[in-house]
Amino acid sequence: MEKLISKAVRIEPLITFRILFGALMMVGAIRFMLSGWVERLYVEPQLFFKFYGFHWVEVFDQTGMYFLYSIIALSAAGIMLGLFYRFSAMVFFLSFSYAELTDATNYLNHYYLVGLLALLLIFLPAHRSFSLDIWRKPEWKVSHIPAWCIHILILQVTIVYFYAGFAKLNEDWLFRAMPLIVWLPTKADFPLLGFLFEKTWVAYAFSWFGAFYDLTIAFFLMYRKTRPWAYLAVIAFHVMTKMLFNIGLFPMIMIFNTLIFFSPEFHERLLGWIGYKKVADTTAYPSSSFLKTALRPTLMIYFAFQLLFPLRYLLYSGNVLWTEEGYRFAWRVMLVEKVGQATFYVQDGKSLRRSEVVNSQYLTPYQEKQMAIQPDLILQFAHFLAQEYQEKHAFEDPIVTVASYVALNGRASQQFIDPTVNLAKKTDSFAHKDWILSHNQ
Amino acid sequence: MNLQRFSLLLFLTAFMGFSACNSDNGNEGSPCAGSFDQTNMFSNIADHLIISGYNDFASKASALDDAAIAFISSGTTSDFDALRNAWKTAFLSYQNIAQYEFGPAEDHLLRSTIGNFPAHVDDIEVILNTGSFDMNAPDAYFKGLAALDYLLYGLMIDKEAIANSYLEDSERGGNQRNFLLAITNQIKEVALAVQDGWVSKGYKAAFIENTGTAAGTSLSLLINGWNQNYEITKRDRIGIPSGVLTLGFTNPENVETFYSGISLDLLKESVAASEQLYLAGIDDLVIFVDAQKAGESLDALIKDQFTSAKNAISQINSTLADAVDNNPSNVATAYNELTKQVVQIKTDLPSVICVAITYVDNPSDSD
Repeated sequence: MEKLISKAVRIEPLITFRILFGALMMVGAIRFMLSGWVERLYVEPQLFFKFYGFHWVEVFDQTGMYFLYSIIALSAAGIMLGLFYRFSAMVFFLSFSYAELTDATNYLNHYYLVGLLALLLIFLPAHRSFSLDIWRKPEWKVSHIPAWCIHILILQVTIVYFYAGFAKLNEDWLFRAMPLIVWLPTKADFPLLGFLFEKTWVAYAFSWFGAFYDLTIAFFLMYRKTRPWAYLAVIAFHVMTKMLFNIGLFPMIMIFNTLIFFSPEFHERLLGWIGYKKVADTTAYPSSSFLKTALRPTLMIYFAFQLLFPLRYLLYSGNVLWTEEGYRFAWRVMLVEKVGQATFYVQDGKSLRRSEVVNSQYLTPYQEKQMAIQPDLILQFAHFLAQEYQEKHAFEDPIVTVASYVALNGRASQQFIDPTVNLAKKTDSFAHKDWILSHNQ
Repeated sequence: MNLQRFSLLLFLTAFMGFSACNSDNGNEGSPCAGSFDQTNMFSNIADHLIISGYNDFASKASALDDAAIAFISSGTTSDFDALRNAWKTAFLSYQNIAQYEFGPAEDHLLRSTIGNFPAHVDDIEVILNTGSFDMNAPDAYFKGLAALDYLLYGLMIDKEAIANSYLEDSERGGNQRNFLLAITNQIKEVALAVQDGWVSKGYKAAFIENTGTAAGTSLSLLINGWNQNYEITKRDRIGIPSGVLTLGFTNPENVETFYSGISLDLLKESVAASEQLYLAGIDDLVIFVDAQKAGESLDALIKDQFTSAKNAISQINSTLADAVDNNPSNVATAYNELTKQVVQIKTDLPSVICVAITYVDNPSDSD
């Protein structure tokens, strides 16, 4: 255990991690702005879906959002260069997290991962070598750091992979090859391999291999003998997914992250290409006794959370793919093909005057699509409608109901939300939502 | 673990995958419609519905333009009657092709050029009084087939008076003549252009070849176009006039053709066209994947629902504009029957045949 935590190890893997993470995040923020996504995600929508507990997060106006994304890009550059590193990492963590909390419609697992890694980076001495901070203050330079600085990153990446694989161990993924059997044939024009994607057995092979890969890759990366092959698999796997699916930066994030498993000698050579020179002397990162006493419990709490939070779905009844209770923040990636439609009705509690709602008056097509398959978003929209009809049409105690249908993984649809329930009177919480109808296979 | 053992493990895992799929109740190779012969189906739909539909519409649109020219030059009441009939015939014909808003129709913006409704009468009156208009204005509601409803039926109560107003030697009379001819001419031109796109410019071949289930394939375009038009029928042709979306306050003036009162005929034609497209091959896809919904055949459910919707619509006895106020329960029933079909054709059907929905794209990344 001591070996894993306080043993002095060389700093190089952390340097590579810092540079690549910062560079990628900087490119990501710039790409976001250049792609016009500020307009599409923050300017076009009239209302935004909130994350539970983060209702106070507001979207800024266009200038404000560009400002926010510029701060993200700048602080990411600060991380990359190791300039005012801790401050940069903190600003990056806060600004990035804020941006991701603005609209639950746009939740992505890999953004959650970025947030977590940024949080960890604040506490890691990743600027203590080969950085502008060292150029400013040479006395800060160290050659060794305590092993936990590397191992928490390894552990974080391992958790992501393993849970992503664990989530794939469900009937639809393994025995119906869903949703890959739906998605792969749409890539039949893929160069060379395209014709294979229309074959049923290929969808099964991809599903099983994908689950196996996610469950085991971190362990193959841990052992020196399997590491080079495992890393080739990492590259092949993520390049493939990048070519097949619209998953943005995620493949690059994982290809970069997994370098953390490699030895300091490997990183020394890698960094050598961009001018890094190994120092002969050994200066260890000083760790205060306060840090030592605070470190263990903090890390234990953090990782206990990381290990347990994704499993919260076990506390809910029903199929998590259907109810989405405990779905987010649990590394469930590419697990479902869902289409839904939700028709809302608002009725005046007094006059019984009633109206069907045209969702597109309030939501962008993408928001409407996402809302229709996620109960907490349906609830938020229902609350919005109750307020809207109170204000615009002087409704008293509006009754909001929904006729909603969702088709999961290639099945015909089933009714999703109890159509008799007045959603205006329901509140969101971590408790089971008893107004979600159960899914029959 | 060395590489060989690693590969062996991978191989075994993959093999278990195939075995699992083979043992899976046997009757289906793929749960999706991937291996269905789409070429045959597209060829059938292209020839018997789409191209024959555009041929019919192009000839009716040409006849409409001819009738307008004939009326303006002769000024006789019988030519005015002929013009009205030509318009009705063309409008009914349009309902049959309105659901193919992709390829040439999309290129020529067929729907927004001639299919928008209800016509905005105030805009039209400004045009008739000033004589200035821009036929290329995007998303305009002063032109197209629905504008002719007002121009041929709505200017005055009396038919003779309307016909005579086109013959007046006044500025407004001249404006009416110009505007009428501009509209019928545009309808003809765009109808011919879309027909040409399918028949001589090679879109038919491209359509038939474009197989698969991805967004942008013919199957995806067809099902999206079909659904979008069906939703317009449900929401705009009947829902909005009925008041279901406006707290029960009816909007009779928002029917497709308020002045001539043929909205119900147009609605029936539109629903019939939706059903016809389903029966022309989409049904085979649904049967091919043996889709079940709560133990019933999805194909049977869809077919039955078309029948129920048509029956409910046929229970509306007066014009639609009249019925929304005087026979609201029949209108509500028709609307509800049309609505029940939406979940089956918009959610169930694309899901069971695994076709990608194109009209909602992801604005950024997914994971």
